[in-house]
Amino acid sequence: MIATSRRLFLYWLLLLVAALGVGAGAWLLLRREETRLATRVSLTEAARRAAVEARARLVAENVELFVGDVEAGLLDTLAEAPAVSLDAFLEEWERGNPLVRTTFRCAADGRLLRPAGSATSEDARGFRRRFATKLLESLPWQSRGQPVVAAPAPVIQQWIASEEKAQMEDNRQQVASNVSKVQSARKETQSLARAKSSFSVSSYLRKDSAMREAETDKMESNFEASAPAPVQVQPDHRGWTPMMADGRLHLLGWVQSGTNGDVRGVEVEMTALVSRLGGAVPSELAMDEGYALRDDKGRVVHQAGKVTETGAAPVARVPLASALLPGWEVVAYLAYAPAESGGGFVFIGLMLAAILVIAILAGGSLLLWQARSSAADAAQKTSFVANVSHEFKTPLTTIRLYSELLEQGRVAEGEKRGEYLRTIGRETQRLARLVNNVLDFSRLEQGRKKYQLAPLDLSAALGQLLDAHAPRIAESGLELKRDLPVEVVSVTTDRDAVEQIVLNLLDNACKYAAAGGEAFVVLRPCADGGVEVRVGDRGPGVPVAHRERIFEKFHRVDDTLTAEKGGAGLGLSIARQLARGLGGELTYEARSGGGAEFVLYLP
Amino acid sequence: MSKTDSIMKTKFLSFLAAALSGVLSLTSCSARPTDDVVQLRIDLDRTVLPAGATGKAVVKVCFDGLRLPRPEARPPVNLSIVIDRSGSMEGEKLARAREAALEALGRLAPDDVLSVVVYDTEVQTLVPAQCVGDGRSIASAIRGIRAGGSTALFGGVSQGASEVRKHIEDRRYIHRVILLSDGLANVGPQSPEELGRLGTALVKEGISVTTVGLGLGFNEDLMTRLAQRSDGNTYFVESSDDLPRIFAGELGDVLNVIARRVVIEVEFPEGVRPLNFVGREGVIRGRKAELTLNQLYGGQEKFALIEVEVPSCKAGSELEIATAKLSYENALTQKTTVVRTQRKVSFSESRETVVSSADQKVQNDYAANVIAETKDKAVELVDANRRGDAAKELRAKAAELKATASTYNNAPMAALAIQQEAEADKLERHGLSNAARKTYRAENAQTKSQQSSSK
Repeated sequence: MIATSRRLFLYWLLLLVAALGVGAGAWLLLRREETRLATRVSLTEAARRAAVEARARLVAENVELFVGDVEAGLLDTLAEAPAVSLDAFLEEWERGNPLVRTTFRCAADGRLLRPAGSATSEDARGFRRRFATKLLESLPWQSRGQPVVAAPAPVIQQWIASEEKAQMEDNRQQVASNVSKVQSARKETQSLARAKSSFSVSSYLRKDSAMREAETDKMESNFEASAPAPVQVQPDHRGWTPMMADGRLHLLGWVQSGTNGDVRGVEVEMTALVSRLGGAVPSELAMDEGYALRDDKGRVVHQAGKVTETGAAPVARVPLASALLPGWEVVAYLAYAPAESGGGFVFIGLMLAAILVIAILAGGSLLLWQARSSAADAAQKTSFVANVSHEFKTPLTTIRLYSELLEQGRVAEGEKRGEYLRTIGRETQRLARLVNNVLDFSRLEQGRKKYQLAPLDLSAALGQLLDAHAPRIAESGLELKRDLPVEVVSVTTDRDAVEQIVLNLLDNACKYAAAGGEAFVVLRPCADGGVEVRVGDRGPGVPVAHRERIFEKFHRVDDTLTAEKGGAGLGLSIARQLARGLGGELTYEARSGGGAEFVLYLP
Repeated sequence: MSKTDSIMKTKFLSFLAAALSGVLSLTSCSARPTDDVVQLRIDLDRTVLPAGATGKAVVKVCFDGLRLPRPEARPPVNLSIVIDRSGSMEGEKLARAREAALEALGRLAPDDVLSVVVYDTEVQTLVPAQCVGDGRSIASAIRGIRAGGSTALFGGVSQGASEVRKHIEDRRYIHRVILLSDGLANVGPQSPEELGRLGTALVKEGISVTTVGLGLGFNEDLMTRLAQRSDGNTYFVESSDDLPRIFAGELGDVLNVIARRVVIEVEFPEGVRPLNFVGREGVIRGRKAELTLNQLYGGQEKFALIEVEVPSCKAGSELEIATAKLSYENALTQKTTVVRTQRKVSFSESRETVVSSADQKVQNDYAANVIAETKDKAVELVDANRRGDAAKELRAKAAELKATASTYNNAPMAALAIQQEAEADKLERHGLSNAARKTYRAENAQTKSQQSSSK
C-alpha cells in the first residue's frame, strides 16, 4: 500500500515537473516574444515619428520657399518700378496684384508720403492708422544689418536619404506629388508676384494712350524699358519687416533707393498668402497622420488628416519661415494605433499556457486518484475473500473435528456426545448465519432483496429472539439485559430482516465486547409513531475516525489478516442496508460510560 | 401615354419654333455693326438743379449688359463648386446640394471646366479642374459626397480658387467659385474681415465667389462680405428645396457673362466734389471715382450711384457734371473696349422746372440703396444691442425719403419709405431674428450689386 502510494506520488511528481516545465517554457517564450514585439512596435513608432517629423519639416521648407518666392518677386517688382510716376505704378500694382494689399512710400526718416493723409479709401486710411507711427518709430531700413530674406536650401533630398527603408517608397511618392504640387504653385506665384497686374487694365492703358496724360504715357514707356533689364546702378537696400497691428501679423516689404534714400514698400495681402499656403500641406496622407499650419495665435489656418485639437501632444512642431512669419508653425500629429501593442497577445498566451498546465495537472491527478481508488478497492476485496474464507474455516474445522470424534466412537460418555453434537449444531448455525449474510449481501448489492412486510408485535418477537439466543450470548460471557415493554408494540415490518439486524448487532457485541460483561437491548416507541431498538455493550467502542465508516462494506476497524477477531466486514453494512430497506435507519452512538450503542429506528 | 407624348411633342415643336424665331430676330438685330456689348449712360436724379446754391446731386452711371447675341456662343466657364459637407449638412441638405451641383453640371457645355471641392474638417478636391465632357464621371463623384466633420470654409474656398487657377491663364474662361455652406467656419481663418480680404485678393485674379448660405446656421456677414468683395452673387436659402433652383439661377448668370474686367472711371469737373458711392464699394480719389467689377451679365442693368456736391451756379448756365469712362474686356472676343460718355446739367431758379426734371427711376434706385446701407448699419446697431438706435436710424432715413418723395411726387419712393417705417417698428419691438438678419444681409447685398437672380 505504502509502496503504491509512493509510486503514485512519484508519477504525480513527474507529471507536475513536466507540466511546470511546459508552463515555464511557454512563459519564457512569451516574454521573449513580448519584448520582441515591444521593440518592434517602438521601432516602427519611432520610424513613423521620424517620417512625420521629416514631412513636417518639408512642409515648413515648402512654405519658406513659397513665402520667399512671393517676397523676392514682390521686392523685385518694387525695385524695378520706375522712379517717375511711381505713384501711378504703385496704384496700378495695388489694384491688380492679389498679393499686394497696400503700397506705400516713405521718406528716409519714416514720414509716410503715400498713402496720403488725405486719402479717403478705407484701405489707405487703415494702413495709415496701423503703420504711420510704427514706421516712424521703428525705421526698419535703418538697421543696416542682414536684411531678412528667406534663403531656402535644397534639403528635400537629404531627408529622403535618411528615411527608413520601408517608409521610403511610399513617402517618396507622396513627397514627389507634393513637390510637384508645390512647385507648380510656386511657379504660378513667382510670376504672379512679379506681375504688375493680372487685370487687363494695363493693356487698355496702352491702347488708349492718346487719351492719357503725358505723365502716364511716360510711365508706360518706362514699364517697357525697365522690364527686360535690371537697370539699378546703385544697389538698393531691401528687406521685410513683420509687424503686429490690430492683433494680426502684417508683412511689410520695402526697398530703399540707393540714390535718394526714399523708401517704397508694399504690404502683403496676408489672407491671399495664407490662402495659398494650403498647397504646402500634404494632400495624400496615411490614415493616422495629421498636419496643421498654425498662426502666431495658435489658430489653425490649414489642416489635413487627423488633427487632434485638444488630445494628444503633437509629434513635431516646426516653425514656418520664422523670420517672416514669427510664431507660425507647422504641427504634425500622429494618432497611435493601440491595437498593435503586444501586451494583450502575451496575456492571452500566458492564460492559455496556464490553462494547459492546470488541465494536465488536473487530468493526471484525476487519473492517479482513480487508479488509487481502484487499487484500494481491489485490496479490500482480496481482504474480504480472505476474511470470509477464514470465517468459514473456523466453524468447519470445529464441526469436522467433533464429527470425526463421534464417528470413531471415541467418546463414550453420553453427556459428552450430547455436548459435541450441540457444538456441531451451534457451529452449523454460525456457518449458516455467515452464509446468510454473504447471500444477503450479494442480494442487497444487486438490489434483489425482497421484504415481506407484515404487522408484527415487535416486543414479543424480540423476546423470542433473545430467548433463543440467550444461551449463546451467555456462553460468550455477556449478561444480557433486556428492557422490552409489556404491552404490544405493533409495527409493519419484515420480521426476518429485523431479527437479522438485531442478531448482527448482538454478534458484534459478543465478538468485540465480551470483556465488557454486559449487553442490553431496549425497545422504545418514538413520538412520531416509529420505534427505536437500542443495542449496546460495554466494550471498547468505535474509534471516532471509524464511526461512519464501520457501515461501509468490507470495512473493518482492524483490517489486517492477523486481526484478533475474524470477520468479513459485512455485518454492519448489511444491517444498515436492511434498516434502510425497511424505511428506517441504523446509527451509532458512543455510550456514556464507555461502550458502543447502536440505534435502530423503524417507522 | 401616347397622348401626353404628342402634347409634349407639339409643345416642344412650338418651343423650338419660338426659340428659332428668337434667335433669328436676335441675329437680325445684331446685324448692325456694333462690338459694344455694354451700354454706358449717365443719369441724374434731376437734370435741372436749383441755381444759386451748393447742392447735392445723385449721379447714376448705368452700364447695361446687352444679351448675348447667340446664347450658344457664350464664353466658356471655369467653375469651381465648393460644397460644405460638415456634419450639419447631413441628410436632406446634402441631398439637395448634390442635386444642385448636378443641376449646375447639367447646364455646362462639354468644353467648360468644372472642379468640385468638398470640405469638412479638411479640404478635399473631389473633382480636379477638368473639362466637363459628358459629365458622367463628375456626376458620379458628386453623388458620392457624404457628410461629417467640422467646417474649414477658408480652406475650401482657397482650394476651389486654386483649382480655378489651373486655367487662369486661359483668357477665354469666365472664372467662378460657388461656395455652399450651412455652418459657421470653425477651422482656419473665419472672420468676415479675413474672408472679405480673400474676396478682394481673388477678384484681382478675375475670380468671383458666389456664396450660397443654407439654413439658419451660417455667418451671413462672412458670406455676403466674401461675395461682395469678389463681385459674386450672394444667396440666402432657408429651405434646401430651393437649392437646385438657386444653382440654376446662378448658372444662368455665369453662363451669361458678356464682359469682364470692368473698370468704370467717373471724372468730375472743377468744383464738383464726389462725396461717396451709394451702395457699391468704389474708390474716390480726388475728383475721380473708380469702380471695378469682375464681370457684367447679359441682359442685366447694373449701375453705380455717386453722390456729388455741386457748386452754386447761375440760372440758365450748364455744367458738364460728369464724364464716365468704361473699359471692359468683351468676354467672347477678349477684345478690350473703352466707352465714354458725359452728362450735362443745367440750373434754374424755378422750383417747378427742377421738380419736373426729376428722374424717378434714379431717385428710386438711390432710395433703395440708401435703405440697404441704412439697414446694414441697423444690423450692426442691433448686434451692439442698440435696437432703439437702429430703429431711429431707419426711421430717420425713411422720413428723409418721405420728404423727398413728397417734393417730387414720387409715389413708389413714398411707399418704400412707409414700408421702412413699418420695418423700423418691427425692429424696435422684436429685434432681428436669425432668419430676418440673414434676409437683411442678403437683400442688402443683392440691392447694392443689383443682383437679379435672387429667389
